[in-house]
Amino acid sequence: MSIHTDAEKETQKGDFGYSDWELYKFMYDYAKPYKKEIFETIVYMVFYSFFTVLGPLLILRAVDTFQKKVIDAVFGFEFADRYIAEPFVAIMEKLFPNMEKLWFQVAILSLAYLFTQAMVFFTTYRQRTIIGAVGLKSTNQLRYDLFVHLQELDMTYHDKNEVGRIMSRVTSDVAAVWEFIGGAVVQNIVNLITVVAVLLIVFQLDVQLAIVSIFLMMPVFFLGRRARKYSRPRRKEARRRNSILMASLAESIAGIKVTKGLSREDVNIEIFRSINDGRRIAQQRAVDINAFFFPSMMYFSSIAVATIFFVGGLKVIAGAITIGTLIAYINYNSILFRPVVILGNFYEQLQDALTGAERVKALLETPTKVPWNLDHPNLPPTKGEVHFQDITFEYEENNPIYENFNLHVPAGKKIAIVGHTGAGKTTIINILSRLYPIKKGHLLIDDYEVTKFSLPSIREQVVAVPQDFFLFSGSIRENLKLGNPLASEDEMWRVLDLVGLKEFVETMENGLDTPLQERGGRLSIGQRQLIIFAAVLLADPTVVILDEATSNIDIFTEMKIQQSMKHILKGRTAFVIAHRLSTIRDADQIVVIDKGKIVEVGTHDELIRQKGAYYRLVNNQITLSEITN
Amino acid sequence: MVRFFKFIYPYVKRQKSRFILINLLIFISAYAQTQIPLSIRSSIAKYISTKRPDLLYLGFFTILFFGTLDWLSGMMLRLVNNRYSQKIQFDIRQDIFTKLQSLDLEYYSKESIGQIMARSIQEVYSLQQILGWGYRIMLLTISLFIGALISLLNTSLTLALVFLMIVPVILFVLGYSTKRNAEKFYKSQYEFGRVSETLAENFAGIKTVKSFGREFDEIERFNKVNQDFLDASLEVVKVRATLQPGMIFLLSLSLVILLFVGGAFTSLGIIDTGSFVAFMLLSLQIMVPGRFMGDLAIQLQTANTAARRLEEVLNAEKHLKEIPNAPDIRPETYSIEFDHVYFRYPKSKNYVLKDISLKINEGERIALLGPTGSGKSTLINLIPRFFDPEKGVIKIGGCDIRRYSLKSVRDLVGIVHQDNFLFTLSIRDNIAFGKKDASFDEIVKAAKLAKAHDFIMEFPDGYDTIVGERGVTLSGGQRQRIAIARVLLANPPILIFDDSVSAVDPETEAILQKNINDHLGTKTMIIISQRPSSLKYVDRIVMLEKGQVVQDGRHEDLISQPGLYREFIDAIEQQVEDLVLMEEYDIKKFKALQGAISIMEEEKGRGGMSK
Repeated sequence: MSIHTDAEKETQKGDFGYSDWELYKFMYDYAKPYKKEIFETIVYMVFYSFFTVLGPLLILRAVDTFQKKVIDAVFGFEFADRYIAEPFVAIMEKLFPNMEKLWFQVAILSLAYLFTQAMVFFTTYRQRTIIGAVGLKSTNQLRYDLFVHLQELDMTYHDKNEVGRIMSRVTSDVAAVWEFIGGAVVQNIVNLITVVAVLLIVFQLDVQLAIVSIFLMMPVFFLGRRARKYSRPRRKEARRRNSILMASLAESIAGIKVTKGLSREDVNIEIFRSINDGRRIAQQRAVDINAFFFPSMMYFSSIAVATIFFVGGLKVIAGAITIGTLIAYINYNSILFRPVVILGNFYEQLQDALTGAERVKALLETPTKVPWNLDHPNLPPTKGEVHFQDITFEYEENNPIYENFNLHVPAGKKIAIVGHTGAGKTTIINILSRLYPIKKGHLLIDDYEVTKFSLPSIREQVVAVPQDFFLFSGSIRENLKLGNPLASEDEMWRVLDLVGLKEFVETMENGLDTPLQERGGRLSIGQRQLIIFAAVLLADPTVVILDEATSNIDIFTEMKIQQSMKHILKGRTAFVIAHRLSTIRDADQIVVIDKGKIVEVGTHDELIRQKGAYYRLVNNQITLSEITN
Repeated sequence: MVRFFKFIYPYVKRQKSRFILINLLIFISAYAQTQIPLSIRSSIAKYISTKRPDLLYLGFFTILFFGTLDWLSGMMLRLVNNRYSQKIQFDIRQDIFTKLQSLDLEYYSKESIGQIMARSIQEVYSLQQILGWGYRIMLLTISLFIGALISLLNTSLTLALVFLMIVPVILFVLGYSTKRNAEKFYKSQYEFGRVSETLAENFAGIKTVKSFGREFDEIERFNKVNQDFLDASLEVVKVRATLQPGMIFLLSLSLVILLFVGGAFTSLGIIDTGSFVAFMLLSLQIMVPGRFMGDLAIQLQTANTAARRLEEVLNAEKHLKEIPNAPDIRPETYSIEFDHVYFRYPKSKNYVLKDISLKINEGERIALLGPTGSGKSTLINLIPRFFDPEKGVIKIGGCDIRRYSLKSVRDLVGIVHQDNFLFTLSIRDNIAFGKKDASFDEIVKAAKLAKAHDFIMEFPDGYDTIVGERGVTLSGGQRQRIAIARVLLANPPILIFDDSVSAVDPETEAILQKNINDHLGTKTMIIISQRPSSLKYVDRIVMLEKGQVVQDGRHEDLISQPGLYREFIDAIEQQVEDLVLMEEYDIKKFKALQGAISIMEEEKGRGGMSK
């Protein structure tokens, strides 16, 4: 069964060729505008770490207090003892003279502990809201940039990439990056700060024990590095499978009508099952790596504890340290290894983020072959004279459709392009509408070379209706705005009247604001064509291109349109592709195309007289039209 | 919270053994993790307090033993858990997809591709965390609680009870927060769906967007939904940011309470200092996974939202009611009958079809004509039951199609749609779309009939050429011909062509139509076309106007009476005459042609042409 064969070819299994450093930098660039916020977060983090470290210390001191019954210095810091603990204990002793002093000492320690925990709460809350917002905003920016880039990318890209596949980049992959900027990165910095702080304390407590911990942390880092090596390719594969799944899903939904008509549901479900399974296995393989490495890294924490017990035990017996210190030390050891725990958890996300970043970056760096050229000047108002000069055009490398193609169209003329299916008619349109890059040669409008002007300014004057045009699920109004976003309501009604849709739209429940459903599904294809026509009228271009745009309109409507068309096309240069020769009969020039070559050019009359290719086409047409009479 | 558990239960049930194994492993690793501090405590008591350096290694190995147990069980746990959670995601996606395939077209007219995709990809994915890490942490925390409780029970019942008091508080906070913030979570997910919707639509329509130079308006439109998503997500971030440290604070508070109570017990001599220290260590141990309780709460809320959004698909109502265990339709003849059929689209006040009564006999070939929007496509969409009429009955061979299984009805009818859709598959697979087991010869035969074989062979990969998502690498006419071949291969007894050759050039069309006509035999055929050429092979013409049948009869009869059909033919004649009279076109030849045609006309009839 061939399922999305091209999809599997599209993204190679290999690298996109970015180093981790480049990817971190890429993500950092998106977080950069929020430097202030990030700095603020780091400040909170320092406090957070401080209070996190302080917390257990206070609790353990309280435990010690119980053990020794009464201690002299409550906090062990002169400043805190003199200004906080002693006054507090003094006041409490006055208030409750019957109670043991011990309880007040524990109470003040507990209060201090609660204060640290309140601070932990506050700093965490601030950190998380700030960095969460930074993550969201920067990935929003990333999504926006991707979208903008995708708008600029020419059709050679869009033809090859299914909707679902592109969507996976803008949704799933960006989400993976968000996890990093919005979550993992904070955790990592927090952990780093915590580790440094704890290390400082640990060294003060006992150097030998500290060395044990540090020594045993080495293999953990080593394992982490190994894990990366195995994890990344698998992550990548999982992401790729995910995008295949999305593409398959999007397509199944888009083609649901065909599926239902041919009762293909069962087969589709089976195909989806295999794609779904492919994703499952890829994902499983990726996560398996973590299942092995993470507990192994954790294991070193246990080894460390056992070793500290042994070494520390000897020291206690020798009288070098107290049991309290040993217990505190064991506790710190777990804090020291905690970053490993969390890192392990976020490691998955980190790998995912890097893989996501890689795919996003690769898309952002895919060059567009027909750039907007917004820095170029705008095309001045033109009369609409079009010149194709020695144009070579190809969809695929080294497979030219046109070579050294030449065609000159004076301003305001109506050009009909005819020829057999696959003769290359649409390609001429694609060249002119700048949906695809021109390989060689020049395209001139009024002697202005189009590549030297900004694309949006050209599209203001050159508007095409593609063969497979698309209506949006929004309202009729929104669809008309395709032509001109600034069009007034009156203008909309005027053009709807011109194309003969006024009456119909008036009877719809919400008039212009009636939604059209997905792909304009609410309307018949003929009606959809009329809507797109109305949009063209609103656009009011100098050069208009219609690719088989009237094929689904019935004869009555067509005649109506043709009447108004005559007025509409007046003063515009028009390129029309239509199989119905009657619609192009009164063209100023008919260009007959065959296999990428112009075989005939002339008016209807001239070409009929020539008795060439056009003559045969017309002959055929008449034969076909009149056959039942 | 309950919603999620209810939702996930049937999926968990399918993997009972894995689930049991996971729980077992969680308990083993929880046991190992609890035993580590306990063995530290006992080792301190046994070997350090008694000053026995020679026996210290025993403590070392005890700790190491439990560490190793923790390591091995942890590894196993993750491996099993991974398989288990991936399988559940797989199952949910498969169920969603199956449901989507079974939902009728009315559902698709309301729900966009983008939202559906967000639901089946993102929402399912968001369950991964709770199924893996979340559940583990949850159970681990619970078992650590229980473990600590048991060891506490050995020392003091009262202390254990104090310890237990945290549980209802935490549950209450969780429950309250879930309830209060459910809408925020839902809104954020919904807005994500809107982003996905905008993306899907834009990419599908990118060519039109570009052709009209409307990229910047699209960017604006996207920016708006993207911004809405951001705003909704920021709300969720706030909830997350409160919930997570809030949980930790609750735990810290309980730690202080325990400190006092435990301290009191120690000073009163109820428990010994060693137990108290171990107890406090245990509590600190709980704090480690306890820290994750906040994250867990967030995951639960996310999962709950996901469950809600997934249920919306899985429980979506089917508008086409199929009688349970309906028999397959086996009509004796393939006639089609419309009996006073009324139809309008949901929410619309106007009828698209009004009181349609129409009978098409088996083997008859009908042309359905009428102005744009007269209801032609709607009419034929009722035959394979894409929609049900509001009033009236549709029968095939005298059988009311609503009484029979949907699949069997659809197997009788082949429609080539106006908006033909090709899948990103090879041409071969696209043609075989309705008949998976078709042999290559059959595929080629269908392609030849549809006049597609020649151009297919011109591609370097021939039938293995992959066509893009919307068949973009093919011209409109080529796509239409593949769509025709697709239906011809399925070979149903009723064939419907909905303006399906509009982009095919006339010469090819002529051959194509002859091929189809020769192939038809006794098949019933309905053809919608704007082209007069399609009238060549039909027996009867049905004119539709504003949702009603205005004329119905043979060409010869209709042409002789005033009416829509006459206008239609006149208009075409006018066009052709314009074409002809424009120049000194060979009128004689034209006349001769016409003569030949009328002879063909006479020959044409039931038996005449079918051979």
